[in-house]
Amino acid sequence: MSDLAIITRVLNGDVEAYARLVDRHYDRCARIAQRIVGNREDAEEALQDAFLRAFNALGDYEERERFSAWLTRIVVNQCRTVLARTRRREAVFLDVDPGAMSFVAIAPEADHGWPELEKLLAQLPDAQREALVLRYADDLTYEEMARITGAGESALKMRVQRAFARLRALLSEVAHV
Amino acid sequence: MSDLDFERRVAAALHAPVAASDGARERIMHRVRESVRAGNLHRRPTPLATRSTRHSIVGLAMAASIGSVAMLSTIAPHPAAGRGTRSAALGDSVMGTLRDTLRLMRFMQEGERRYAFVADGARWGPDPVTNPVRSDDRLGSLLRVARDSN
Repeated sequence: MSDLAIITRVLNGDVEAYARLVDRHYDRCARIAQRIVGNREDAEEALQDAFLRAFNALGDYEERERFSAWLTRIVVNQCRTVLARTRRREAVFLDVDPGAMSFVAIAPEADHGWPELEKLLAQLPDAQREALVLRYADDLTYEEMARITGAGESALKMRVQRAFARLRALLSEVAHV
Repeated sequence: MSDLDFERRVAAALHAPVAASDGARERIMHRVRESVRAGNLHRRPTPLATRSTRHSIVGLAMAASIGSVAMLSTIAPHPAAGRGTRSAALGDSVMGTLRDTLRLMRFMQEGERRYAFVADGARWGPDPVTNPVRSDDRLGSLLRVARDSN
């Protein structure tokens, strides 16, 4: 069943049909959100809010745009909101550095693909990280990225180039790439 | 490593799937059902639902009136903070001080939130009176926020 067919069912009152859209798009959106905000807790908070916002705004969705792109725009906006909220919190707790704390309890299993990269992504400027993630975590074209972010294509290309250069420099500091 | 190889490696890492916590999708559907019960189905956001409004005192009061739940958590101040008092607005939260304790109050939407306690500005861990839940490589606690049925 296509996204549009599911949306039609939801708009006709079949609320549970929305679960199929959530299932279909969750993994992709989680990949984007977690790499933009940098941790699973904030990413899942952003995703909860984004999927709820999308549901409540389904009546405004227009067929001329792919649903996945429309949803991605909402996810990216929620990630920006979460990042801004985190920054405000960090600005208040200047003397609390979670990274320097010892953990009372460490869970045994951890899933690390390229841990240095995951950490260094957080050191990129927000706009560069967002552009890099949209380009490579979601395989978007620059044209699609421009529609989602509101930035121009040339600016987005420049952000991705700079993100690569910055990442390479940062990674060379922690390991020889 | 060439630029092209580096780009491919970064792309592969960014494209790798991320693990979701247990019940993440179900939590979304839970909030969707709650939203439907609250009568928010497919409506355009009203001016009263904007973030700027929610940040205001009026917004907080409205959030309380529709049954949002306030979480009052207490965090011990960093030893270097001494006995000084301070207060500030924290996003959509209000915080202040009481004696030597920093208090945060946050109005939250329904759903599940993970949290952890920070102690002495040096350690953090799960709430000792709850069963810990795993998230990433750390343990924390889970808070379920539900609409007041009264």
